[in-house]
Amino acid sequence: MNTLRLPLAWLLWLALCATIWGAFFYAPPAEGFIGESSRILFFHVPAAWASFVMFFAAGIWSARYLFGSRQPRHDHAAQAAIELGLLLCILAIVTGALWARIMWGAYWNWDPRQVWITVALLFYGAYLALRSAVPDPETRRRLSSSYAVLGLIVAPFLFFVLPRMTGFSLHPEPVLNQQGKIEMNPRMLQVLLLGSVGLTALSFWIHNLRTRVLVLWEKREERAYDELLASGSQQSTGLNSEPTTAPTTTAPTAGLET
Amino acid sequence: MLGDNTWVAAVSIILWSGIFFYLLYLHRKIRNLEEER
Repeated sequence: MNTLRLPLAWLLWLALCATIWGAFFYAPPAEGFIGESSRILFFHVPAAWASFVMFFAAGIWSARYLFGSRQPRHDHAAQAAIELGLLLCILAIVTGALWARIMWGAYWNWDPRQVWITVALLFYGAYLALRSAVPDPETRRRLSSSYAVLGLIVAPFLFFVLPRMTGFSLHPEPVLNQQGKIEMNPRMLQVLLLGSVGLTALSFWIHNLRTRVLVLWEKREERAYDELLASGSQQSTGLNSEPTTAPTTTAPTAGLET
Repeated sequence: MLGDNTWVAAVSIILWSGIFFYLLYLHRKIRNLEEER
């Protein structure tokens, strides 16, 4: 890690340690929540937010691939973002379900937010299925990038618009409520913002590592393919250069000549 | 006697630190592979 990034990494470590400490000791338990259950929201909300950021970023990288110079690294970046977004999405759903079990009595309640985030999970899960279904790399990149660009419209709807369009919801008011105001205890808001920024930064760090691994894999595969081609051509050259040995035996012609 | 919140926070910080150091290790490993090629 270069000299600039290492302090940033340690700053991130400190920020997320502060978030954990703040979630349990600095922020008060939210009013109207059972016991200490509100503390899980300091991890649930940042996970959902970072998941959306990753999905949206994947759309932007895919657009850069499709409408730019078609560089495979942009497609790798989109793939890495969606993989990470799915992981964060699962984390948000699981933490939400744990909290729902305490507050609402069941893990799954058909709440609009639960439903729409699960639809987002399926939508982006289909992206990976699409990638694995197309063997040709060029076609795979083109199709999956088009799908992820479609996600630029779908993701904001699934995360922000559709859950708010439904009149009834068990879910607590989002940070920015229906009236466009933030009505939250300032300490809770500080921890939530720190957690959201920290987890988003962590996501981009992991994304960077994953993209580089994908690029390395592709280079390794290309090299293996080149080596295979080279060995194949050597073999075929070797076969052609072999001296064609004509049968040296002579037919007994003595009797025929006569 | 430590409270429940203290235990959960301590375990969370230990887990997060483990992930952090693993990411640092991965970063170094990937950088070395990139330099080799």
